Amino acid sequence: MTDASTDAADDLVARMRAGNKDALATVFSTYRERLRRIIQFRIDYRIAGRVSDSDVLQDTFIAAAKRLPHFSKQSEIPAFLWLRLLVKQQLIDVHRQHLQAEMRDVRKEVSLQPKHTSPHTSMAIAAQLAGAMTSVSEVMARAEHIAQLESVLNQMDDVDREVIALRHFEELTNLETAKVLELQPSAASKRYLRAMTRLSQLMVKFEESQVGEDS
Amino acid sequence: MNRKDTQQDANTSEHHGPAPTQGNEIDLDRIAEEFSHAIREGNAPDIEEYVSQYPEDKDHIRELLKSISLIEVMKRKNTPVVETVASQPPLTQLDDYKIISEIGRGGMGIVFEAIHQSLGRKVAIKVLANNLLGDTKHLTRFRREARAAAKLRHTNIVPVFGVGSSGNHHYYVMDYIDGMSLHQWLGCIGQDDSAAAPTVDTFAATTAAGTETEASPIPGGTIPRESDVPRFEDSTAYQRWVARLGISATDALHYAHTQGVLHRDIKPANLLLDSQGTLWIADFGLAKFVEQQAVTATGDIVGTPQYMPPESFEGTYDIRSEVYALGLTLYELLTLQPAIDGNGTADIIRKATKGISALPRKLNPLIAPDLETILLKALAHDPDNRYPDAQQLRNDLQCFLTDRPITARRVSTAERVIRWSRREPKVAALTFTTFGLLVALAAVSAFGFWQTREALNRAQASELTAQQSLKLRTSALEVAEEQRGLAEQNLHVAIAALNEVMENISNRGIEAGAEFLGEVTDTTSPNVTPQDAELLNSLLGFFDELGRTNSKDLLAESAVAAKYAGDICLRFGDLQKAESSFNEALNRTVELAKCDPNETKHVVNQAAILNELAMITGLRGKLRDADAIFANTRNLLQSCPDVMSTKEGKFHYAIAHRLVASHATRIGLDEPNLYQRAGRPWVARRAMNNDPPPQIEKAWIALKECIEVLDGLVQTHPQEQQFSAELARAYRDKAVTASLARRRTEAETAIRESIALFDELLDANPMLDSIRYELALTLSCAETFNMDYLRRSIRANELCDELLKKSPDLPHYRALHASIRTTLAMRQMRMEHYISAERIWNEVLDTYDSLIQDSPDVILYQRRHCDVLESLSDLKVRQGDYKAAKEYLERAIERLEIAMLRSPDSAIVRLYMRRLTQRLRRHAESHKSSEVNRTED
Repeated sequence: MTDASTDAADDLVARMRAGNKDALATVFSTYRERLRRIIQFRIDYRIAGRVSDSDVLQDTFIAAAKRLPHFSKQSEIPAFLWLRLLVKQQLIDVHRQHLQAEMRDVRKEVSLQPKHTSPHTSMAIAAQLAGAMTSVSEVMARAEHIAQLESVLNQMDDVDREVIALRHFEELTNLETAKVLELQPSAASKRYLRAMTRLSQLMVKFEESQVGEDS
Repeated sequence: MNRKDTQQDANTSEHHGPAPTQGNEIDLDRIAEEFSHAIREGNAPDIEEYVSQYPEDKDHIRELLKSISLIEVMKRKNTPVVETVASQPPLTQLDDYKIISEIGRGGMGIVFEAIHQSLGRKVAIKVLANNLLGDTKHLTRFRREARAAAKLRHTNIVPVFGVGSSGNHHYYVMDYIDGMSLHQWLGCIGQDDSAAAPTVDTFAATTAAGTETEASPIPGGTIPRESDVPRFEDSTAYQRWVARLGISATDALHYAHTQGVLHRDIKPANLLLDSQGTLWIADFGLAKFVEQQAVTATGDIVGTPQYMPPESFEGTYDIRSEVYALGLTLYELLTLQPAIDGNGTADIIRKATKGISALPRKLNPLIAPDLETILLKALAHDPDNRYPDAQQLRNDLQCFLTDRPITARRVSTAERVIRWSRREPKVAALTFTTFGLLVALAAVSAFGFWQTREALNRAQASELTAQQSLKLRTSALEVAEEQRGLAEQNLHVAIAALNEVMENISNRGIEAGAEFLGEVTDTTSPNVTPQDAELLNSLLGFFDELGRTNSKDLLAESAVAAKYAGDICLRFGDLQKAESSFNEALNRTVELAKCDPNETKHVVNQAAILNELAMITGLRGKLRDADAIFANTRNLLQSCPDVMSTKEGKFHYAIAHRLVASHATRIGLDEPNLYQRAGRPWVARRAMNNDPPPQIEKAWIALKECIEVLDGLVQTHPQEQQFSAELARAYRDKAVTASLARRRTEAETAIRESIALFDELLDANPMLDSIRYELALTLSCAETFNMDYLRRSIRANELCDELLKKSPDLPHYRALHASIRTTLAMRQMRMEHYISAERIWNEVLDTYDSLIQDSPDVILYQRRHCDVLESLSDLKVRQGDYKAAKEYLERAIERLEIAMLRSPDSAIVRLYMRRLTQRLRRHAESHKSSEVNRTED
């Protein structure tokens, strides 16, 4: 709904479904920025410096052109979510390429937390926020901050965490979120609200503990 | 977006009462979307406004919107804080301060030149962005920090007069320094604007450090007088000038440290030079505080981690960190290049955590060696190796200026190697003795024999302390007297080092004494790293060098070394290198045997190496070669009755037979994972055929021979546990082979033998996890026989859980677990519990996925991954979902394609691929016919 204005026109999508590559290009450029955000969010912070989101976008477009026939067969999936799917596949490949080959090196790099036990999404959320905090001194404080945030996120159930990620970091609408998670829109909504309530309760607790330290 | 909608939502929901119901959840969600959208558009929507429209649910909605605001604001990037200041009308007056002009601006706020009217004094005022200190808690803390900074009185610290707030503005006042920051100064003399933020378009850091650094309390115009600052080209004078700056800075730092204040952000931008050439340190403690708050509040980026010491990324920061940070600044002054630089924040962080990479004299050869030594000590990666405080650094700089000997000792290449090893976590597990040996070795290989001796002599003559520290090298020194003796001695040292490294490596993942594990893919340890390989490679280069000059005497040693190298490559998973190393070892051993035809030891060694080679060629899918090697080994051993009478000879003879059997059963068949395939149509087809395939017959005979020999060994040497272990393994193979040949009773007997033997071994060595693992492996293939399997698989499961609890990361444990779960899934499928089977398989799929990610070259994991996909495809066929079944098969083929890229020479993968493709084709056909059947039904 808020993104209705940025949705590609139905007839374009219809033409794209019919296999028209020009239509795909137009639809793709409509969603380019949203897809870029998803890449920025989902890309592992350790390789973000090596692979630009534009590269991933470009590869996604090539993949989309190649797989356009598949899209025409899946009439139930909206164009944006289909492209998002391709983006995620590209990202998996990129991560495999980079992290696998250098797994041992990369593991030694600066970590947000001494241990990497957190599920991927909370890492991504935390890393995103950490990426936003690379001030000289902030990086010092981030072990502390991110650890807190991560622990808050880790206390949440997987789906809840994913809902938050989709809604706020991939900036998907509720309808899209519902489709991605294969839930009814009302159920997705319910999960989202519940997750946010839980997050705010946990954050309050966290803030209280901070105030406690301060005094 | 449109407030009206919300209004309506609010109105309609009024009738629903306070508890959120289905209906107003959607409304709440819509408000949430709208609110998020507003923030993303750059607005600052008022939470209370929303709340007031939704009075029924106000607590709930306030909580919700607060969380949203928290997330959205935190993640927002590249919104310079200063904008909020800048967008306001220009400041002219702050309390008693009359603003004259803006000096600079950055992440923290804007710096103004101002006049303190009551005193008529010129000051610099840093006005913080209003949103930085939003809540009182932060304000209090900020004031506290500022008060601490204001207490500092030092000739090299910019005095802070106080903090204040006027209206929305919070500011602090400091003395006005007429000059420029070292950052600006470096920008003037260096060609490249070195400290500017990375330009690469990572989503991080585009707000340049450059802009932030402008925000120093200086007008950025007045350059210190020419006479005070020597030109860079006048190297000696320039270096002395830098040293003097260093002294001033350390003076100030040491003073602040004694007052209990850490600066926390030493960098060229915070070091100012006034027009007299005096150095001033600005922003004590405040920069950190303010930046920290700024970022948590707005997600703004205000700098790069370029000047952060490595340990600070782990949250440690102390006096020595400031020594390091100052060292970075001095480094930059001396080389005109930032010590840490990179593309993008992530890259810079990575480099910053590793410490400096280039020696200062590499960048500027004119730097005095002593000065470099001082710098390197300040910049040591480990804080313990740095100057313990600023004072000590100051003293050494003073010594440098006055041409007195400095206290810092040059770190030798050898020590750097060690420090490096210490930093590398995997290699860091090396024991102290290894270090000692490596010191000797590194010294020798770095300088050559003669130079070493000279270097050692020099070191001895010059300094007593050095001599002490060189104790580790005295063995090398002693033998330095005679070239030849030295070479030999060093080879021994190298071999000893190699032994240490090997032992250390095996201790990391696999217990010592469990070297004789059978399945090589299972012994591939995650704890063997490329660094180990590198270390060993450098050692091997050394062997080669020595071996060339001294062929005969050193042959035995270098054969051992080559064997070790093969072993390490094997564990590391590089089968090709392993093969060539073992071949090298074989050649040397063969030569040795020629020199010493009566020595049985050489023949035994040959057999052992041949066995390794047989295993590798088998693993690489070159079965005919493996068979040829086997024939070789057998002939070799049988032609030496002396050897065959020894226990070692017999042992290797048995291993050779077991290996050839396992090739025939495990790898030689086109179905790669037999135990998982029971109940398949093709097995049924094969079962109709009464003659077992010839490979199985061959394996059967080989295993019989193997067990006979091992039985004899175990009888005569009951103490040698490796014989029992090998026998147990042979029984396990026999069980598998027997079941393939449908000799069920024999299979059951063999599996019981194997279990009994491993049980016995485990009783004797309750601590040896490798035996626990082997036992679990035996237990887990009980499924093949469909007898007593439940009890066994439960026990296998228990053992595996136990192992995983101890070492959750070991790939062969995880693989075992996956294979046990697969058995379970298989059973579930046979019982037509399709849903739970699918769930388990998906779980197993994840395990293999991560295993493949960790060890991409182990074909076994790739194969098993495909097996699971194939099983899932079968499951889908049974459920009647032919489309999904096809998709699983396609996925398996896709994965195999990747595997083929990795291992183009693997016949197994190719075979597997062919089978899967055929299957897919068959599937397409049967799918058609089954659909026909369905419609007929």
